[in-house]
Amino acid sequence: MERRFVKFVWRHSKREQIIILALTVLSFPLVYISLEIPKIIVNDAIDGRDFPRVVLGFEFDQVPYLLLLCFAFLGMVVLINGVKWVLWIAVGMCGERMLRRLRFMLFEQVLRFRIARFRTTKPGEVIQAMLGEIEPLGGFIGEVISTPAFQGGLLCVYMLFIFMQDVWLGLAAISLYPIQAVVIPLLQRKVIRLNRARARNTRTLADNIGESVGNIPEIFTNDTARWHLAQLTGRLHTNTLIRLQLFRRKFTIKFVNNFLNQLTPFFFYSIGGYLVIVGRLDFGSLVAVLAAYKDLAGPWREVLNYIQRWNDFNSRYEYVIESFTGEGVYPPERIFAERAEPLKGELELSGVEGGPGSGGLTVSRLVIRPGETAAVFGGGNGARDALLRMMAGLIEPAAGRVAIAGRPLTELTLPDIGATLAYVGSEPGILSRSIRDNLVYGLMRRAPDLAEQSTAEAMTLLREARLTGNLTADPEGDWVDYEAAGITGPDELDQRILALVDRVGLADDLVAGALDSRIDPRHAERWTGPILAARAELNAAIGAEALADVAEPWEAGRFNTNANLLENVLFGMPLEPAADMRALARMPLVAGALDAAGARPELEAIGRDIAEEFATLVETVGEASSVLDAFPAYPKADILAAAELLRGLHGLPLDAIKPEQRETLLVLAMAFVQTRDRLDVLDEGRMARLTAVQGRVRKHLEGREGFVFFDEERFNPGRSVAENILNAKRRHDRKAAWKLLAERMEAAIRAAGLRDDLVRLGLGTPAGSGGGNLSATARRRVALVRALLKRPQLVILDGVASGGGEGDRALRAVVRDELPDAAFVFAADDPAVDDADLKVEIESNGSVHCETLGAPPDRAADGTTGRDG
Amino acid sequence: MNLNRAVQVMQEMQLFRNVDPKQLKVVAMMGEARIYRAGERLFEKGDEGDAAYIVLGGEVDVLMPTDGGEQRVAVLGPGEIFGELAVICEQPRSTGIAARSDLEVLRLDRNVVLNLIREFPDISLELVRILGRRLERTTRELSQALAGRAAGPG
Repeated sequence: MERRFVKFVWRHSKREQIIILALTVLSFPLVYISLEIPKIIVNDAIDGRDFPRVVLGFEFDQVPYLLLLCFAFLGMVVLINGVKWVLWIAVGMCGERMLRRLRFMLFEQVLRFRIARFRTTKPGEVIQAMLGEIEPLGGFIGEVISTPAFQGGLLCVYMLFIFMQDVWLGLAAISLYPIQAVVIPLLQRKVIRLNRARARNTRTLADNIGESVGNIPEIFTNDTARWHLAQLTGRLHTNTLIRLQLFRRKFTIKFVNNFLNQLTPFFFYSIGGYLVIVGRLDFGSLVAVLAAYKDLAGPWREVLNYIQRWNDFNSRYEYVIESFTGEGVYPPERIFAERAEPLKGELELSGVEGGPGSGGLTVSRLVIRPGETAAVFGGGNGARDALLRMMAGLIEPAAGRVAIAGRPLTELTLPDIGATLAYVGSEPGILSRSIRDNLVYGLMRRAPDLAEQSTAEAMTLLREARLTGNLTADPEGDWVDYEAAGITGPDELDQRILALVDRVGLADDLVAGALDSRIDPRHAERWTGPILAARAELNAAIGAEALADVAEPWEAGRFNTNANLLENVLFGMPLEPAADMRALARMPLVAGALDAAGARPELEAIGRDIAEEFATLVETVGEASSVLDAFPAYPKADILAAAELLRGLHGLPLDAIKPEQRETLLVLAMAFVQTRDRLDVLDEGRMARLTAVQGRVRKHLEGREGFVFFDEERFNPGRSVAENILNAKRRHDRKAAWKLLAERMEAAIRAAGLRDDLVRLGLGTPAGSGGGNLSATARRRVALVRALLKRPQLVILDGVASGGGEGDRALRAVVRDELPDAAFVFAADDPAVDDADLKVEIESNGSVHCETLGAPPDRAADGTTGRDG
Repeated sequence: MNLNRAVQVMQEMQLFRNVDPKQLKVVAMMGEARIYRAGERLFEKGDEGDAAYIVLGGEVDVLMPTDGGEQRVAVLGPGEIFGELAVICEQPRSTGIAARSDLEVLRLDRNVVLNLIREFPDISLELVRILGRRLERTTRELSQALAGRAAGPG
């Protein structure tokens, strides 16, 4: 990485800089011509005599000549601005590409930091340095050469002109330049220091904000919101103080500059005037020099401005580079080494001392061979965590050596480590992508080269990546290293994932999630068959009569007391899912059907009765009562709003109230479920009228796309998978039997061969930010599958499957079974754990001992006994 | 079952005799109507006491496991409440309950019961009376049993 800004710019953008300079130079004569043409228009075309004029062999009279010149002028304007357009884009893109290169370099540098350096690396500061701090550099880089060349050139031309008039006046004109050139950088040195202080403070600020947002649970449970705000206030205040100082210095510089610039004319007027009066200087020369000096001021100001920015950005660049380089950075091979084969051999720790923060960890010698299982006990004061992390290369020992197959971990590249070992902590990192991506994450090691693709998009991506020194791999391509997983391609990977999620018990979570989820309407067709098969299985397994005891089936022309009124009226649902009832009511398909069937007045009347019940309820229990939380479909806020609305209606007839109020009543009614909400708003008459509406809705919607009736043999993506399979409404008064129903459904799903599809569906759902959509157990299982998929030679479980209970034992057995040749190390939390070959005990003083628990077959022969550490 | 019907049943109950029908409706709203088929179990002895039940229709068997198998110790019918003791005293269930016939109950979750006691003093007073009467009856039965043993042949 170039430590100096100018080196960085020149090395990576000299071609662009030269092009920009060439374009700048090219624009000079064009500007000159565009200034010249108006003069010709005035002096020659308008004010001229003796026409016609001959241009390029053609004769022009006065008016055609004027028009020709005017169009030439217009053409020049277009041309100049066209060149400028090209120039601006070139300048902008040059800056942008250099910025992109710099950011990439910085992040690559971060990924090469030695592990110890991350203890002092704050994420917020890295982000601020990489994004905010260097952003202005992009605007500057494009003009690093062109601005001084252009403005400097102008300055030289004007100075030459003055010197030609009079050498002494010329010297007078530039007499103060040396002073400015000395004084201003001196003043600016302080500005640069302040800029650095501000950058430092802003980095800390960025980190503080990140830290606060990351610690919301702590803030909420400790009432420290005000404390955090005060911390922010403190940082912001420091920024303000620095800014004030900056303003003072900056404007002092400006003041001095302006003063010195006006000092020269002062001399011209006084000394030059005196010389003219005594007759030693000719008056015309003085006027010419004054005019030239006036022209000089513009470019000189630009040059000074440039020097200031130059100093500022140099310091900014160096400040950023300083924070990303230095000691504790691995060489680039650490990341970019060739794809590696897993190292096969024993894990060996010798003479290891953990150093500070490791609970006094000392290991004189510990060997774990391929195929062996080691349970690590004790070391509650951080020693165990340190030991296991050391085995994974996540902590470097203060002294001693940790090696796999004879090679120290600290010397291995990431491809070596990634292929050889897997580490699963109790809080595994989950990316905010699909669960499947998170499982396959451990195999994402084969960079798909963009050069192999031919799409226009890929070509642009590749070209820009090359221009900016970025990675020439497709970010969204297939990164999976199938060979490392011991499989041939995506289909086998799919099978392997299905098998593993089942083995570690993640599949049940995925199926449960998938049953409650909705399917992308584009894939609906494919689901119809399996869903109908599962539906048939379920019906056959339970029997229609027994099923009707738990769930109320759909029957056209009959009111379903366990469904909401909208479902009853439509007797079907749109394909498109809606966020809530109100969104559903506004959906054109639904709104149109309600209008066509004349369903609104009845529903609004029911809604009004519901609002009335709610108003009475609020009156009885008061607005703060927890009773108001007892309605699953009606949040407390809605109940209060409904009561409020009713008070405002003052018994007005329905057609006299506002449309949005009528909509609220409609929505109240649409969500109402008779057996669940049990308000006395439905009588036989109303139910009969609603069922009658159903017939009219059917006539209106029959044959329409985007709608599925309940008695159709079709899959409806607007409803959850479970609803599609059951195709009946679970009876709210039979909740006692729901569990049994769920079990039956699970069996039907299996029998219909739908389970794998549901697992796949679950795999496709997002894991959420930090795995927020998953339980802590599910997150650990995801990490476990991630570890198993890549078939490491060493697998370390730190805080996962650590107990002596049946579940944890089974999980460990799965690991052992899946990876028979791997060395398997796990933290054991329960003294009863005995399913291991080696018992690694960490004493309270941090020293580590190892003894054999049971001899595995291959070691029984060589008679190895306890290997003390 | 609609709220109004549940209210009608509850109005007949000793527990709610001083309670305003409007408030009874609130009780019904806070509860969950559930149906059980004959023979289905509501809970077992030793289960956590998570809810109290009011019988709205049908009957339940109150069952006590003994050495000679399960013994029915009582039958409860419409308008009777059960399970409230375990809820209030945070004890495990002292008996098992099974539906004797097709059964309709109002299930009052633990939180609901506690809220009712807090919000409606009339109900809590009535509850205290019921519990007191039950205690008084148990005490009397116990003393009769003791007296019987003392008087009977040694």
